[in-house]
Amino acid sequence: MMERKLKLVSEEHSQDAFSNSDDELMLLSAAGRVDAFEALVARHYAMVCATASQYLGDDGLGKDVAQDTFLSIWNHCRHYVPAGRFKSYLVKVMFNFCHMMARSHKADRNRKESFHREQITRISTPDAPLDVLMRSEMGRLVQEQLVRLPQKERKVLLLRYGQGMSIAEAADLMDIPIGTAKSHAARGLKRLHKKLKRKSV
Amino acid sequence: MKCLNESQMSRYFSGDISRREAEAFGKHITSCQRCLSLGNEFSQIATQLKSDNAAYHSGAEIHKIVTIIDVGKANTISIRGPRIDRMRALWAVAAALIAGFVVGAIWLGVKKKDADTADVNDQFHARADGAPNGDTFVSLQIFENKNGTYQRVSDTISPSASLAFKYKDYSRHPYRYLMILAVDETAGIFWYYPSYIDALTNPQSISLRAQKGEFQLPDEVSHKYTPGLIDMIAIFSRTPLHVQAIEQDIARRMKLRPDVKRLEQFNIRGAAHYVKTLKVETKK
Repeated sequence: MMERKLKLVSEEHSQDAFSNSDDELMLLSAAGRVDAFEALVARHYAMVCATASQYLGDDGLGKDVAQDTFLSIWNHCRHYVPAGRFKSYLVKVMFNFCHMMARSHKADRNRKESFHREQITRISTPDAPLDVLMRSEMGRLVQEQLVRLPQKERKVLLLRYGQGMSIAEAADLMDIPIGTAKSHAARGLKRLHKKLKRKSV
Repeated sequence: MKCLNESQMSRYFSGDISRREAEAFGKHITSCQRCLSLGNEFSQIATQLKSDNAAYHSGAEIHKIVTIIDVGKANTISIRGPRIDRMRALWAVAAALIAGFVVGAIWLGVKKKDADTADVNDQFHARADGAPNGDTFVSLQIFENKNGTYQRVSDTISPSASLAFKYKDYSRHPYRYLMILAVDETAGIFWYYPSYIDALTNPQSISLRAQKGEFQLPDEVSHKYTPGLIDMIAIFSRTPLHVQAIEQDIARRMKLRPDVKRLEQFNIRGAAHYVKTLKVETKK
């Protein structure tokens, strides 16, 4: 299995790093190919940054987490086992950095204020039509309540609805049974709905 | 069918229900305004949760990450060896412990052997009338060449005796230097080691191996002795001594106490001496 992968990613067959799979790019990165790693970052940066930003409720912290995540993956790429689960590995590393960031920056305390400031700037553009403003306000409320959810429910919701994955995919990335992922999603949705209802009342 | 509550709706949205339930809920929602409204609320939440990934795609940020990862760092990483697994580390520790045990056992064995040797040498005494002074672990054996054969001298030597020597040193820290000389009754001094012929020189003690054991000295030395008593003296020391200093000391002591026939004490710091009195007589 390993030999087949290594053969695939030999220098002569992989001049164009962007056409390779994640595993192949990781193997090339382990061989010191920075362009391969660049392709990997370009492929997943937006997903990592968006999810981390939503998870922490702060775009700045999300960017920091994305950077830390990719640097950590680069530093440990020699130990990566190419088993077709790069995305799962990436998501795990990202959430670990999210937890560390939340602890070290006390994001839980500050996220509400920073998020408020950002959203107010966004929705107060003079040309914004009413439905756009309404949607922005709804989005702000949802994001505000999202960061208050328990970690497991927040993760499943972000992967399932934030990234548009299926429940099975989200469960696979989080290494949990599908039934458990469904339960987390259902509880998270119900909790969000309840909080939003209370807010709107 | 009853209207869906919040829990049921959330389970419906997240797929946490059976297919039959899902079909029944689906049919009911289309016909029930209240459930439709509740469903819309959940749908809106799901929509709002959707992340706009494209907004987060930043070429500058990607470039920043790639800039941090330079090729130099890649090379540094590539030379890192594989991580030592736990079992290998345990084997290494076990091997180190066994090696330490073996070395310790050998060391203890050597120590015991030394101790045994020391016990034997505790019983060591000079033969004949030789009396070791100051340190019982050093001794001198004198041999006289008689027609090509060396005979151990016990008490008598001839006036023209040619002498050879063997010394023993079993002290805990063997001595490094040695002098062998003889003093007769008239305070005449005869040097064997070091050789002292020219009065203008001042040679010093000969160097020893500084090892425990019995060693033979290489040269045979002859002097012309006058009949009478003669003291054969060996001085073992830690630092080299000079011939003239020893001669001055002997002359002073003999002058102070002319009646003393035997030099039993030398007050030399860190030195051990061995004195054996022999009789010089013409063979009958």
